[in-house]
Amino acid sequence: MITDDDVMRLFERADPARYDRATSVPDATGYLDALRTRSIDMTITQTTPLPTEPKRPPRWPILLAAAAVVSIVVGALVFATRDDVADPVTPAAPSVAPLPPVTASPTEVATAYLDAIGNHDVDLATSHLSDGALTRLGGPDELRRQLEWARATGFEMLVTSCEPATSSPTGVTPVTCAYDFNGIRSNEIGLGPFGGSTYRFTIQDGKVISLSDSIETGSNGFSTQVWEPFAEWVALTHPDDVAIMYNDSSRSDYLVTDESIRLWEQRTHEYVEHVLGGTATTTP
Amino acid sequence: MSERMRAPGVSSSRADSTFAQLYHRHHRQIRDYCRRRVAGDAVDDAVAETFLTAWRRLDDVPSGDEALLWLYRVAYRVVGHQWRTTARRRRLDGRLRTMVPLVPVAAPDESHAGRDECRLVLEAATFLNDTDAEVLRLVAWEQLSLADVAEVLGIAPNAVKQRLHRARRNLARQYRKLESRQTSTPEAPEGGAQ
Repeated sequence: MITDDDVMRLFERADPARYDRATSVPDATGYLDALRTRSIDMTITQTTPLPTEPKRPPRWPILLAAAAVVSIVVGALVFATRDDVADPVTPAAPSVAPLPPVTASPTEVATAYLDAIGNHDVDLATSHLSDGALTRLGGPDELRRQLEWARATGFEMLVTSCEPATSSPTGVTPVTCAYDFNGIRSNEIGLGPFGGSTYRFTIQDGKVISLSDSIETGSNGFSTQVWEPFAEWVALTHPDDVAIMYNDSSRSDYLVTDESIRLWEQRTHEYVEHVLGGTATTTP
Repeated sequence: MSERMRAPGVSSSRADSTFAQLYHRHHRQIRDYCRRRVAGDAVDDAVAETFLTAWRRLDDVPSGDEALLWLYRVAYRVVGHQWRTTARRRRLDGRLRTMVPLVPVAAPDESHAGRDECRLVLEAATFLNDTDAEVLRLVAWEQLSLADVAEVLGIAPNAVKQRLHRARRNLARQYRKLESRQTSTPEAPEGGAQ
């Protein structure tokens, strides 16, 4: 009979990369350029100090990490132009954002997309996306569901700046937009907005060909002040809802279904009442 | 106007140079790491995501040999995220299956039987607890010490030792089970189970 050591040796031999040495290593400069413009539609880059920390707290770690990451597309955001920044909580006006003209700058394309998203206008948002980018986002139905979840949970994105990088010779231009956000109706309970997040676009020929969202939920306190308390409240007061609203037992990732969206909306409203109710006695 | 995204506190040219060194030194190892854990099309994405994180957080990347462990930690999370995303999608499809590639790359002189054994042992590994399997891979394929595995996974060295012991035992048990099932099913199609 084959021994444990024999099986271990077999496992070592089965290394899928063992004979995969044919691929050449791309030049670092070229690779860096490609990274700057590459297509990543959902970046769960944890900007909390995980790789440098030997051990991390086990709880919903890294937060909703994915969660609020509003996954693919950042949720219902309110796009504040630079002129709006002084009043970041004020939602943008209802969507009237037209399609950018053919000559629209990369920054205009990016902001037009965010504006459409902020107004939950899926059709307008998708009109700014290349076919490939839309596919990587999961298609219009997935985009619609994500936006619906974001709307239901009071997610707002408050863009503070959008800046283009230098275009490449191929006409590809990265645009980076920094933003703050409110989530789980944080603004309604006097918290947030939470800063430090960025949205990165790659624009070519007037279309978004890739986009990624790097949302910060750790160092800005969103996880500990909003996400985790809300999840604990749900687990305590509506334990049967947890399996419908969350994708995992640690409640760090959310589910997006018709039923879950309805619950997310209902429970976040109730949570606001619960929190405000606790202070209502001292607030006229 | 910001010229480009870059790690805060690092000048652009220095950042480029630091990144280039990191990349040249460890690209192959990170690519192998990802190649061992995700299916073909997703490898390049996982590698790029790992280095993109390194680029954005260049200030946090330690120097020397520690840098590789740092990159492995990032790659571990990137791959883990890919797995979860894939698993979630597949659950929706009513199918739950690991994403670990089950087709080993054959050595030029490897026999058919040898390839079958490798395929079988990879399949056996899919039955392991996720962290146990990762410990096994880091030891067998990345050739890391137990201390380094502990660093990458963020768990105690003693826990690594226990997990490795359990993983080896369970791997062998699963392998034998699959092997006996295969030999007792003479008409089984080539490629094994499922």
